[in-house]
Amino acid sequence: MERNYNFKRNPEEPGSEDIRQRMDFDALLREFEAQPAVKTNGGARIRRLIYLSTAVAAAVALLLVVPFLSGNKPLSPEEYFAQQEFVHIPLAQQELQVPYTTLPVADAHKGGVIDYPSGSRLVIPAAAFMNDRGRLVGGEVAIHYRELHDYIDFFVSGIPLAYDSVGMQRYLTSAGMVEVYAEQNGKRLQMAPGKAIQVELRSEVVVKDYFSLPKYHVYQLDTASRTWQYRNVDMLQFVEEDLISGLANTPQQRWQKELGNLEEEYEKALQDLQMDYPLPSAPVAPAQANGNRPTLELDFAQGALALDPASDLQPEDLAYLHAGTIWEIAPESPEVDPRAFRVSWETVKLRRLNAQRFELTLQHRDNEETLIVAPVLLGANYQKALVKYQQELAAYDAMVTLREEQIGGESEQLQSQFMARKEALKERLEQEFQSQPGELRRQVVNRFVVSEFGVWNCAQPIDAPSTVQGIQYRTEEGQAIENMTAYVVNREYNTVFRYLASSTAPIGVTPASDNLLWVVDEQGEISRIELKQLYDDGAELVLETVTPPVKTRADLRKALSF
Amino acid sequence: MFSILQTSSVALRRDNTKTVNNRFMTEPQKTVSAAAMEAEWLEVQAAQANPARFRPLYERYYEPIYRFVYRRTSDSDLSADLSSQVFLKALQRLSGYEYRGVPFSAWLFRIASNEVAQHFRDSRNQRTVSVEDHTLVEVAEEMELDEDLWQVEDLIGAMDLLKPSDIEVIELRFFEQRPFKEVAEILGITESNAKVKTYRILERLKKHMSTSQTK
Repeated sequence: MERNYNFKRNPEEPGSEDIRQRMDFDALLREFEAQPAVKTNGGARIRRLIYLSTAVAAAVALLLVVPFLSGNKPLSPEEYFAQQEFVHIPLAQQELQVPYTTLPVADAHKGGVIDYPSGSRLVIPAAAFMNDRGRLVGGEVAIHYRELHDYIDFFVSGIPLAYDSVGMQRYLTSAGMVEVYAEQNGKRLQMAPGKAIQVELRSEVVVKDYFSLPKYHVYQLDTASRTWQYRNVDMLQFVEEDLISGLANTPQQRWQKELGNLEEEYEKALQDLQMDYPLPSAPVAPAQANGNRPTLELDFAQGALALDPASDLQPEDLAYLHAGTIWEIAPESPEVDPRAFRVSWETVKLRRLNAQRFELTLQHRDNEETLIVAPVLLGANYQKALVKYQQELAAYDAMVTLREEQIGGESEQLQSQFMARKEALKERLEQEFQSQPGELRRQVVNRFVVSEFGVWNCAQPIDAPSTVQGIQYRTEEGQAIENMTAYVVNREYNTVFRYLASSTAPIGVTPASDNLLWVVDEQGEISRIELKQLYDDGAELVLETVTPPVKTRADLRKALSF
Repeated sequence: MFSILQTSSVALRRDNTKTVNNRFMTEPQKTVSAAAMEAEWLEVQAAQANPARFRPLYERYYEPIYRFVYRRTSDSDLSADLSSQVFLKALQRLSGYEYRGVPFSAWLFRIASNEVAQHFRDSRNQRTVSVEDHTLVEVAEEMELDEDLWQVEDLIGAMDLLKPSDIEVIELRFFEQRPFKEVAEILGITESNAKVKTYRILERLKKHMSTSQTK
């Protein structure tokens, strides 16, 4: 039986990328401006005709207008960049892009941790994803992730780095950028409200001071408002270089080794100081006899009973015991054989087990009895011993206080000396590292959270370089370059400055630094020039075309090296 | 005697508990907060003043609108065509838009719904209804169907007898999980009317199913 509706069970839907490719706001706006009233009862075929005719008209208009604009009336930078896509990919070849790494989260309900070969890591919380209908999803989810680290990556990605800071045009110099999104069965997912992925992005930054952490913030690319949005602070941490490189004598190893030597010397000086002022022996608190345990009256201290010469302890070792001390058989002692009290023992040995317990060994040529005993006091002896102990304790406390005072001053002096030597070492190494050729770079981990999918940048805002006007751009063949994007980078900052290459538009390069400027023409050919300084004198820049045209990322790196 | 049930229908039930009109009693969780809606209203006002500022709204809602249309047409080119028409109409009517406490997207979906309906009225082509098994289970639960006594094909057969406007309600409410307030906004009716309509459509579905089973 024929149905009234075409029911599709569990249909496959197009992927987000396919859908996005169909978006064209500029065409929509042109149509809206050209045709304010719309026929609502027209069929799709008629609409297609309208689109086609509008597109043809727009194309014809563009063909007529563009030469006029480029020939006689150059665009202003604002007009030029407003016409471009916010994320404007300059080179069409997909193989030039930084590829995504796609790894799964086995069960989105549980979340998971993904470690990347770069050393970076994503920690994905449980129940972090929802579909386009706002429902939480479970099961396997594919996480697409890529890292952009330097001006080559930023350039090919088309991601702009201009930053509107309270109406002032600045740029973001980056410590590393990530782009992350999730899909399930080819459908793009969103982050569930209140959920965030923890990112640990491993990157390398240029540092001015080897020992001080640079400060970076985290910005999210907002393609809707065409801006970067400040989100939070980048919790930056240095990574031990030797752990990564496996190299010997890295700056980090030098620092650790020389600091280790200093610390060793400091520790030894402290120990020597302690030895100069020996700690007095602390008095031992008397213990009262239990009353229910058997006791032995063995007077070793006064020499009434001689300890065997082979005994661990001798009478002088027991001199600290209070007068009247007797030995109580401890609860954990082996049971005493009553016959032991009838045996004439030949020798006796004593060994200390801890502050309160001793091992007593009674020996006869035929047998031997070993007991665990504790020194205790009875009645008046205990009271006397307690008074004596309190007096000894007060004297001991006074001696300890005096010792601490004596040591304290010298100890502080040693610490101050150590700190001063540590700072001096730091300063000396810093100067040494700075004097080495090339930039001082350090590996870092950028820790931050992303609460939405997209592009996130660990960066700090910098001022755009001062600009000059009247620069003429030409190819080697002498053709004028007008109305193209001029990309400018320098060694100081990890960013890409974008200008309009036009004789009437301003451009800036960072003076006293190596700069590279390049443009990309409609055929995807790159022309470049290295610069040190630009003066406001109508200079002519002749850009050298890169040949052969770049085809791979390696080609591109070579073409844009400087 | 007994029949073997399809795994895609009853077997998909997660448990044996009965849910009595739970959808009527409890609103699905809203995915757009009041603050977000108010922030979006500022964007709409900016676009009302300058159509070029409509870009962020376009970029945000193109994909949901496209998917909305695609589920009803299953034709990629036609979906792109109708989506463009939706946004063109939205731009043309934007000056008359007022914030009414529902997401701006509801207004766009209303235009999309009208466009889709208009297209099928004009073309007389067969309209697509995209169903997923788990949402059908939810419809069946809402109808309080005994889990052992219905199959996906029965429910689809019963839905096939509904009017296009009824199908639209089922799609919005159950297949797309929209709150009644949003369903009402898209259909241009009151919230209570949306609830009543949904209830009556479910009753009709139940009746169609019992009739077909009797046969």
